[in-house]
Amino acid sequence: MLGSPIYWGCFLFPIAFWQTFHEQYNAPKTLLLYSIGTLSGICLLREKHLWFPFWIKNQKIFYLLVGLLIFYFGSILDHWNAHYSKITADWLSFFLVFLNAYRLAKKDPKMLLKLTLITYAATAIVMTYGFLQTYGIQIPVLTQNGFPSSFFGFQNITAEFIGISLILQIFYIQRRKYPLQGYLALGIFLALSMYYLHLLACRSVLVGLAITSFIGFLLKKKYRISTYFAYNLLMFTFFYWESKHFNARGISSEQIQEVKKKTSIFVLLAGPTRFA
Amino acid sequence: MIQEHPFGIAPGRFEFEYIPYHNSVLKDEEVSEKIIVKTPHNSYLQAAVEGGVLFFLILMTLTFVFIRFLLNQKKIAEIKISLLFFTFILVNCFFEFPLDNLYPFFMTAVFLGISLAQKPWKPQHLPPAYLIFPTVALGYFSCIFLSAELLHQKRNYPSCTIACALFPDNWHFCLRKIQLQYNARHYHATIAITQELLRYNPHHFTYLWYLFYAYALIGEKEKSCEVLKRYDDLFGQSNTLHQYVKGYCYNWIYHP
Repeated sequence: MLGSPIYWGCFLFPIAFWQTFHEQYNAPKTLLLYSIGTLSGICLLREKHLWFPFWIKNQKIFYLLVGLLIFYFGSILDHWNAHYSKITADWLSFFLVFLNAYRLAKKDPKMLLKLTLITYAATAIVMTYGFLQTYGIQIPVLTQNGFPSSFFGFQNITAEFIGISLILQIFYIQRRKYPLQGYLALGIFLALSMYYLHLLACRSVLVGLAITSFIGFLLKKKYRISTYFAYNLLMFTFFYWESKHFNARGISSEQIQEVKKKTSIFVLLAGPTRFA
Repeated sequence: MIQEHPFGIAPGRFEFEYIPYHNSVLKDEEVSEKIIVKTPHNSYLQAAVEGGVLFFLILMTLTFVFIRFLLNQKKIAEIKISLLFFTFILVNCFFEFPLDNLYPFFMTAVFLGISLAQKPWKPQHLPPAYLIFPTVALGYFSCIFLSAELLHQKRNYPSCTIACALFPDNWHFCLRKIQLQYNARHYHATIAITQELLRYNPHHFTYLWYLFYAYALIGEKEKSCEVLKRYDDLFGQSNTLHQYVKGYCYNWIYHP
């Protein structure tokens, strides 16, 4: 199960940090992306045949894709003396990870299920550290820009991870019927994730989740008008509660404020007062 | 920005190219000498600015085609969850920059693979040798990225020079190189390095800041005031060097 770099990536991305790097969260995650991409390439090279969704060759979409690449990299010509190692490496990683995921999904029908279980484990670690931060306990060598953003450094980036995790959690809960204890455990985890998202105070992710859950609701085979109103009422109540919370901005304790005064992220602070 | 650069400012260049525009319509309070705004917090606008109008239109068409493909297969559980994932990402793109963040970027690649694998078309078999070049290239980029990060930590001039040469995309490495020369009072070297780096990034205000002081300290008043004017034009009147516009460079700027 853990033989594929995709699974390792899914687990390690949310928790990766390295204090030595110039930026403790994003730079190690970038290195991890390149490593996962390289390992994905090696996995694909070990195959006898490469599975490629080559169907696009026969369709108009292929020409669109080529056009997209031409315009993306063509815009570089305008500034041809700039450096593009990062952009090239990012999209090479994307391409290799995509091909590896395609190969895995073709071979293993339970791939998404495994990804979900791994995401559960990663979410548990991220949330544990996030809750500890809420109470002022944090690893001293790690700087922090927004509390309690755990191993991401910024609240909105952590919220994006939790948002994706919530989508996968809903998928796992809806997948089949569980005994009562199972529902209880999964429900508690889901509630904790939502509470952590509340602490992160990221409106864009909440809007994203609201629209996503509405689309999910529409995709259901059977639904009644009363369920639709119940959904709307729930969302309205949640947003009303959240809007009060955003106005107050009262999640940080005095202890956290003290830690915040002492720590900051270097990457943002480039002004003369900082770099002189 | 889109009006002036219909073919885009090139990928990844928003953070410094935006500075001259931050007061053009409304005052953007977030842009200052202390905070570098990396993205406009809207991935669609970012795509239009960096890739150009045609790139943006093609991207939107492809997104539309892909979503239609997902909707046509929505009975499959994997497609359904992919549809929800992409809805979340596309909505988030209006307010954030999920494809610039590593985890959503990685998961987008994974979900793209999962969703395309659900269609029962016959997969095309190719020899894996096609992937030797991208894999080796990515392995090379991983190594230089790691080496540059580790060398940068040594904080001496030779290491920072190699780090800057290995991975110049990360301007922090090159800035450290300038700082070390400036702090060692090698002003001529500071000027040479800064001018070279400004060729790649003409609106990098931290480089301009050092260039101004380096010229001023070697007595090249005219050149330092020229740099100061560039710096002042970027930020308007609220910047830490504006005092020199009124004092040191007043005659040069107002009575040339």
